[in-house]
Amino acid sequence: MNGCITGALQQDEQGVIYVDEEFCVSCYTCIMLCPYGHIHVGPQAVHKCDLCRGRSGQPACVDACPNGALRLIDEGESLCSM
Amino acid sequence: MQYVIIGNGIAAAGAVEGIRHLDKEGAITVIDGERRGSYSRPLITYYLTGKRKPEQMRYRSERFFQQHRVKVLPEQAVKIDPQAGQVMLRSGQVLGYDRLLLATGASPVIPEILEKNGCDRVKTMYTWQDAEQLDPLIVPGQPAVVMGSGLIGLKTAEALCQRGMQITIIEKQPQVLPRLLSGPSAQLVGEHLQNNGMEILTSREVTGLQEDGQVIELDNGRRIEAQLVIAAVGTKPNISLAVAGGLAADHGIKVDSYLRTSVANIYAAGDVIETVDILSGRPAIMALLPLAHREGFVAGQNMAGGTYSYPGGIFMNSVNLMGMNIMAAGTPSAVGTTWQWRENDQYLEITTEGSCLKHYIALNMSQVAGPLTTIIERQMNFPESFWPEFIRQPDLTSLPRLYWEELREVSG
Repeated sequence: MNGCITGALQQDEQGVIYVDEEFCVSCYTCIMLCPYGHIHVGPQAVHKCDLCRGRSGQPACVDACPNGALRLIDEGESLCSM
Repeated sequence: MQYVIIGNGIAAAGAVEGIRHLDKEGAITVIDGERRGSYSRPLITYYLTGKRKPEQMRYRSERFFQQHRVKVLPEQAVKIDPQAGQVMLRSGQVLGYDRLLLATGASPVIPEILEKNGCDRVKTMYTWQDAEQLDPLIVPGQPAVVMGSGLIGLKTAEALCQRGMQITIIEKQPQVLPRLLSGPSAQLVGEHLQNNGMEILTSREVTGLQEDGQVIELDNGRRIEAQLVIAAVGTKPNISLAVAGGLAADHGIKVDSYLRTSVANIYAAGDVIETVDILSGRPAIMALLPLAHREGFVAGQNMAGGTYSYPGGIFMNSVNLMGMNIMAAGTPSAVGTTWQWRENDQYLEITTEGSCLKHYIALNMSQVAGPLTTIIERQMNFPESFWPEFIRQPDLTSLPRLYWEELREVSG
């Protein structure tokens, strides 16, 4: 987010980082900087997981996981305690 | 606490965030010499093609400055007085400060040959104002010459090409993007640009310019007509305020690892400073946007009483040219083993020294770039046998488990 050349990558009050597509010029600097390789090339702007921002409840992948293997936890929270 | 920031670019925005991270109360004043508000310089070529409207040029919104309670002065700083702790403005106004940040950026270098014979047709492309001045000179179908094939030169060439001009690029070095690319990768980029209608002349220098600027002369005697000449041969830090104020500077302002200048309550960040290339350990002018923000943030926190050390950075760039994505990071001059991978329009080149990755070049291969940048920046070590394996199938799944474990350790 700090490398974004236009300020298109923003953080909402919940701490979720998302792409404001209107401001992205697809320079891919964020892709070059993301250690997880989790920002992708899209047709209009880069795509990034925003934890299904705006969707009610859990992210879709968490809801859909049949084995409960995917969970949404806060940073620092231990997986074991769940 | 009175904070004054000279400059309103990327480092200034980072500094505002850094200061407010630790100090919610102090008064922050930003001196905006360009009087444009906070905008993103790399967007000026997009402005030229109409892809960005003026209202889409902003880097940080007005709301950002309101929320952080920053006073932005559309003024030019003309002098700093470290003894008195004051900044003099062109209007005659004097601002006192407890902590000062110099975020004065850089300016384009004008080649000597053009400086002497400069005229209205010779332009630089560095600021929003430059783009505005260039705009009415663009005539579709007419020839334009771009001197220099660095990022600014090529992005400007792309914009002028998209506006219908006939482009000739003149590069002193034997290849395009000489500071970013290797010979083989530059060959691919050069071919791509030529396929898109640009003429590229490498290992050529401009030796003359006719008075009205309509004809350029090259070192091989060739004469090229030009409606427009763009000088894009590099930039230099704007150190004059600092030097006149007695601060230590070489090519850029000297700072310690806390981004303090030689005067204790004056900090500097962004394209104006000399920082450290962490791979070589040597001082370097990095002038990269992501680093400018990072430096601004660190300096801002330290101005507000923090003690955050800035280790320096690595060279890295990502740019799209005529639909081709070009990324490179690390030390281009690294001498080690180089491995290449190529498939259709995708190309990846990595250079390793022993088990350490030192450099990569990725053309239309962005999916692996983030981890590779991280591996270089954190100087991670993998078994020497890993890299030849990786280059056979360079994707995220080929990264060793060790990589993901190290990431988890750092964030956890």
